[in-house]
Amino acid sequence: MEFNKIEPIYAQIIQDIKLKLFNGTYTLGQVIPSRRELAKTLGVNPNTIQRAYKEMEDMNLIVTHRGQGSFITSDAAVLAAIREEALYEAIHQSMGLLRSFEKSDSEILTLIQSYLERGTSS
Amino acid sequence: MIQVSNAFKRFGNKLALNDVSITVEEGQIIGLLGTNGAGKSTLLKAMAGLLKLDQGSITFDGASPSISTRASTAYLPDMDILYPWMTLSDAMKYMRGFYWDWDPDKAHRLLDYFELTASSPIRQASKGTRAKMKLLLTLSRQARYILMDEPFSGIDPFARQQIAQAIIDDFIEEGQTILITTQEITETEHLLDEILFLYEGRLLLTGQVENLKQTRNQSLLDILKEVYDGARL
Repeated sequence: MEFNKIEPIYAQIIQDIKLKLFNGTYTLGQVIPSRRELAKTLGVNPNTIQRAYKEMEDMNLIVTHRGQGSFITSDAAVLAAIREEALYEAIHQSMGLLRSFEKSDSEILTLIQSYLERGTSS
Repeated sequence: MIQVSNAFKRFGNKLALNDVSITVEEGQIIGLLGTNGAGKSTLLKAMAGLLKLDQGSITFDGASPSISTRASTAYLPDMDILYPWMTLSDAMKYMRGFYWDWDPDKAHRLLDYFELTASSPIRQASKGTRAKMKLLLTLSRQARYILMDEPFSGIDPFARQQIAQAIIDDFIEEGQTILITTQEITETEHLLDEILFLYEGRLLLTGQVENLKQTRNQSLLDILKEVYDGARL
């Protein structure tokens, strides 16, 4: 995993695990690497990994069972909520970018519609 | 916990340490950062008990540096400490005789990890190999505090990466308190919990790396450049 230099590493690790969950690399209830393993494979300070895992536990994205390891939540509703949040975040960021071209929201909407109609959405 | 209070050290007319106070919590990797001559090595040497401060104090868990605090501190110096006529294996035996906390199993693991040959003379080793040998000799002690002066300087990026990994692996096992002076900021920041940034003997910035990046939304290098430019005005 390559880290960018600007965002905190713990945030990038959370982002990476979310992404793996959204794209199917991880499935509900699946075991994920232990803190120790991940610190070793990424060559990152284990306190940073601890922070990422703690935060993911707090948002119910993962659960840790003592002596068994950490698992992705098996609650589909939690996954749906996190996915929705990530989707809104993506829309928020895209809108910020589009608005920087000094177009009104309705112009942006028209542009997106005609873009999709041209069939170049892929 | 290591506590440095109001440390001053002068060399000639240059103040190498100018009222430096820091607290180092247990179980962290701390980066002592700064330009050449900022006072990083001076501070580290003073902590290792190799240099006497002009003013101020350094305590380890409340105790002043003594034989017993030194026994729990492993120091990796900037320069070559190894006797060049020794083989690595001689140096390992020497360390084993000197320090009660020498861990021969760990020394052998590191020997394998770095792919070093114990019978090879130190004199013939390249700079990168000598850096690995030095690290082996430092990390093979089970010290509570590890002080490393420029463990990455002047070696190729591959050896640097191997050394960084060895430090992390060791920290995962033992959770010691590790202080590293370095100029390789972008290459070491992922190892660090906290940074102490020195400029002309003064402490300009301290903080948890992840928190600094989060609040400023900048890379660590950019944060330090800004602080550095501010101090030079």
